[in-house]
Amino acid sequence: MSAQPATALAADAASTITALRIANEITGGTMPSSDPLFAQMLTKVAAGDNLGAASIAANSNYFATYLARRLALQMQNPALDASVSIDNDATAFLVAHMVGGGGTAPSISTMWSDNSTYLVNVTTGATVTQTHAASLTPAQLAAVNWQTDLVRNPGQTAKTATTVKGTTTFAPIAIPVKHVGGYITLSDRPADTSFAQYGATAGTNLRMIEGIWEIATGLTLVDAEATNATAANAPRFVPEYNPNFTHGIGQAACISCHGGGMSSLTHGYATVADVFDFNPATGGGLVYIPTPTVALQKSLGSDPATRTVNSTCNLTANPTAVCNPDSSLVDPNNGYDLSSWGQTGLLAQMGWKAAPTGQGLNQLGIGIGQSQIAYEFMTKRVIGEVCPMGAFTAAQVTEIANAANPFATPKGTDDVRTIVALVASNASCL
Amino acid sequence: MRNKNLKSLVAASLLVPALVGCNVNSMKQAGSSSSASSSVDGQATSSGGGSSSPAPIVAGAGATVPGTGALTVPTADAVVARITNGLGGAVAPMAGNYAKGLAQVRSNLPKATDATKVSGFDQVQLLAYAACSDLTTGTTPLMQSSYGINPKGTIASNQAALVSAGVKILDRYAAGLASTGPTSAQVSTAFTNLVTTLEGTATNTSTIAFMSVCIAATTSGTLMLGF
Repeated sequence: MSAQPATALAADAASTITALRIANEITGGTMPSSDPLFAQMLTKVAAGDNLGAASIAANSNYFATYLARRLALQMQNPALDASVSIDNDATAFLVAHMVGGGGTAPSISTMWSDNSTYLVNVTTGATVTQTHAASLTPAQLAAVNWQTDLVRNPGQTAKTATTVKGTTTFAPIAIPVKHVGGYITLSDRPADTSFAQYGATAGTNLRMIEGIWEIATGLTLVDAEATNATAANAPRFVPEYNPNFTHGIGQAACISCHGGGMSSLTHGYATVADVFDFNPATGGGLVYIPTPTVALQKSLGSDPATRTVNSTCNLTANPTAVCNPDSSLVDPNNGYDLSSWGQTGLLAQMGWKAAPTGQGLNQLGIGIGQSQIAYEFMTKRVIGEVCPMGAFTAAQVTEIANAANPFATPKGTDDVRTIVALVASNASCL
Repeated sequence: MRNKNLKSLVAASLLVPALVGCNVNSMKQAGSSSSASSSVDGQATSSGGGSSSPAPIVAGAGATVPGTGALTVPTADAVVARITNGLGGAVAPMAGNYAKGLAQVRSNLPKATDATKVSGFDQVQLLAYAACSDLTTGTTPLMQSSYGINPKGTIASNQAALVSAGVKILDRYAAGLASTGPTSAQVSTAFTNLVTTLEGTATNTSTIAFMSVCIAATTSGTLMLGF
């Protein structure tokens, strides 16, 4: 069938309806039916190639502008709520990893580890300016071609915060590769709604490690909790003398999550606890702490004023310190050990392929990118967006995930668009 | 807008998508398609012991009503894109009444695609109203230059152009099916009935009639679930 205006092909009503469904599911309706790509999709559908039609939509800038951005915006918070997020460095990074922006290949597997920052080329007259996504005006944002306008810059930069006589000043600092977490560690300003803002604002950074696991795997705190932990694995600020610490009374025991779950010292918390903060002051944003003194160690509690007391954790003091004297404290080398999850079966459930032990957020992120669950959860998320009323069995989800998982056998594409096309062309979605 | 006009508008909004063959009844039964070339399409069944009982659904709502597997709701960004596309790119969400309307309703527009969990459909009509109104402003409004409707003429004198405008807008959503699909005559009849009803009220102007046609076509086109 030669390329014709879409309207000229409308006589094939069934194919047109199917092509419209696929196009709108993948692009949200951003692709006009007058676009030549739609005519190509129609030709594919008419030939019985729904997957081919879906691939055309998934490989278009319409997908990048709508669904890829939406998936990226969702990943800034565990609720996966895109409506509360704005475009920022972290979302630009994720879009680049979904559509291959910035001259790099699409890569789901490096979303949690790639040491890069992606900016947007904005052309004004003859001048091209690399611009942070959060700085784009609405007009500039509407004009971005997310497939061609992203530019990759190696490395990631955070801020250091120095407070003198109550005045805090910020300066840029390169995040060492060991602590780079892909989109996790990208934020260039306050109030950018980035995951870094979500995870590292105030508190103890437990929210940060929990969010990393939840967003990557789809698991909940309850899914990961375990009671085979010791007090040594629970952070210092969790009061061991709380009656619920080891045995829950009307609730899960504290230790089941803080010692055995996502917020255990050994399950990745040490990779973020004392090295990151998020400062909402003007000029702030994600703060990297190269030398975490006691007063700066969030693993000792959310209140900086009590961290020294918690560090000592003398339960005979008056008032009694709110702490866990048996805590082994955060590993100064930022190590993690997921072995206990191997015993509970969680690592098998995750399809964890990397070593269960390591040091630093970057190594942990590489491991997440190699785990089967990351691809399966991405598949389920795409189903929720593209075909929320569809019907997918576990085998179908696994098969689609494997098609994108580069660590599966045979190797998948590492491309979220593979998932999108397979989901949208699934019979239950048409 | 007068109640009578509103009634006609709502009727048209409900009727038009059905007439172009985009209603849920026209959708294929979930799992019944044979045209998909994906190796993972179709419903899997449990593999043990030759059992024919279907495997449990782990993703998607597992809709059992025929056709509902294709239902998706346009989210806020999608709504904006659809309205803009439906009006041929002649309106901009960052300008005019469209921008003002969007600022008012954006937070109420659908946030998710799951039709069983989302609200905000009603806001689409308000936004369509705002966008359509941008076609009626200026010395030579776009309703005249793009759709051939003379705002100073009577509805009767503009009837053919008004019907054509509705079909044209809907065509952009339905890839031409509104004008060339198997139920194109019924689509035209629906808009003709709408315009005729509007014409029956002496104080109605061609601009009012255009607004009604535009809102009806834009709302129904934008909200065609499954599209």
